[in-house]
Amino acid sequence: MLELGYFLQQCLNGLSLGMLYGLIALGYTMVYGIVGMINFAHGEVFMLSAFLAFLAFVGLQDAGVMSLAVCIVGMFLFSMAITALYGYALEAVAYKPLRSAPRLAPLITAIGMSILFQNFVQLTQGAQVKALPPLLTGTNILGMFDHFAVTVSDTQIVLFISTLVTAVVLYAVIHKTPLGRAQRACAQDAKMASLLGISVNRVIAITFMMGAVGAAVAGVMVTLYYGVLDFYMGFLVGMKAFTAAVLGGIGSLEGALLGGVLLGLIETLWSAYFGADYKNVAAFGVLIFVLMVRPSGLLGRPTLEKV
Amino acid sequence: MSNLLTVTDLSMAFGGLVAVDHISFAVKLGSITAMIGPNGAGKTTVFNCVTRFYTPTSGQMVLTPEPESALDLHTLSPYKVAKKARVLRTFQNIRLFGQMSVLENVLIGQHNLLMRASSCSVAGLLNLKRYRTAEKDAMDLAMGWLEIMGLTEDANRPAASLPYGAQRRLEIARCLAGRPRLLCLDEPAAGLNPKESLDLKNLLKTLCYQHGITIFLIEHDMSVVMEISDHILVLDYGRLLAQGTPEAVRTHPDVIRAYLGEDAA
Repeated sequence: MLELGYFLQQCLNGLSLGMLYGLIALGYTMVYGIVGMINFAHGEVFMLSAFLAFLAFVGLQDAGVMSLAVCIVGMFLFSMAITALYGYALEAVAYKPLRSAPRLAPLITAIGMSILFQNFVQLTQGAQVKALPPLLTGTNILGMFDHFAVTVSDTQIVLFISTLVTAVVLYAVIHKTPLGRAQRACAQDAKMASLLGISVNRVIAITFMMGAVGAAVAGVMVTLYYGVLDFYMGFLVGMKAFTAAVLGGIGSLEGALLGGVLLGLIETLWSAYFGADYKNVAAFGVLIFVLMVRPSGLLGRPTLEKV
Repeated sequence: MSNLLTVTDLSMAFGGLVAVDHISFAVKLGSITAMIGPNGAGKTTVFNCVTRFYTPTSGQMVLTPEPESALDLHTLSPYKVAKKARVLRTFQNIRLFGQMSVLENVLIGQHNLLMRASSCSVAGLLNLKRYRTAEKDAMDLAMGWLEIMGLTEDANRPAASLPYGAQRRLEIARCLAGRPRLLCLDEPAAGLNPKESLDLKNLLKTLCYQHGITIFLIEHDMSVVMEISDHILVLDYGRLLAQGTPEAVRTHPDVIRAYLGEDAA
């Protein structure tokens, strides 16, 4: 049980799971950064994107598309585009009308939207678990350690690449473009930003859409990686991704990815060595410990009170 | 000189409290207009109405940016006042984006221009030439204003790390980057030392007479107000007590009474 090869293989698996959490955590952290609220319907946005990827796959198969690469690219594009619209609609319905309401109100509407999305998918897609055959079946042997072959699957490679591309693009938007500059300005002082001619509503809507696209990448990858979907899948994954965002320091993009990867590693390694029964206890236990030592998360800045 | 901003019968009530009570005035194009009055007279409320931070209870506010057509500020949402009418303001307390660099604060002032040039940032992300040119122009303009403000050396520092006086100048530079038609300054000399206050006077004169920017300011420092203003409005208890040239206002009996009390008049 303590061989190096086994350990490395589990690390690789944990990294994959962690990247999924990280992708979803990006949406939590970006929305929190700009409106100062947790979007509790974000887990459901992820669930919707997984179903959209599934529908895109079925649609492409019906249309007779045989090429696997075209299928996967189609799933990504379709799911990302429609999920972004869901993100926009979510913001327009549950957040925009409550911009100046007490902070508790949008929290309740977010939970309402979350239940709405779950029931919407349950009604339209059915309550049964949907399963997809594995699309990418290849595995590559990275190396042998005491007769234990450490492998990385093609799905994992696609996951690593898509996560990195998503993270780099989001980072570039936020740090290198006028839109990102406006997002950072709105995060610091939205009233002042609007008095300088920035449409704060539009910036917030775009932020929700960017977060939804991150969740969509995770949704497509879950469809490819696990191939099992149900209408309730967004809840626990959403909770874990939220934990990842808080663990890494909410408001920080790097923190969301780091938190996600840490959480994925802890969960996987715990399952690998101590059994899967208490993996969630271990994951959330680490969160509690980190927050006791560093309340603002690993990479979070201590909050400054606005004067 | 024609009127740039015409305010007619402006009122703003908060419940039973009438903060601004049927005020009418005009700000002339290319001039410096000051608004003075005791604390609580309603000066900042007038600013908040003009920039649509508040929605006035009644009255008209029309901007006439010739040769373009007149804009009714009442019908614009707050960000459109800055974007379309290009009425830009500062606050009594400093509201910079403290964690962003000095240069970025000024670039934020050119947000709409850059968004258009970058097709909502898509071109910026792809690093297209069209966007690079626009970004460079924006950068040049920003550095130009920073130079006038004496902040060239500090361009890459976080805005929050600047000393107080420099932060005040940066706020003005950020507004200027938005190519304001009307620049509203709320107590720009507050907290400045005599030297900085003198510099501010010269700066405002340069902005108005060399760069042709119409300035509307609230100020308590009488040395600043009397020296640079073309026109002064005096407010007291939400009413317009008097208006005119510095000379006329200084000797106006109602103004002396409001400032110095019954006996002095």
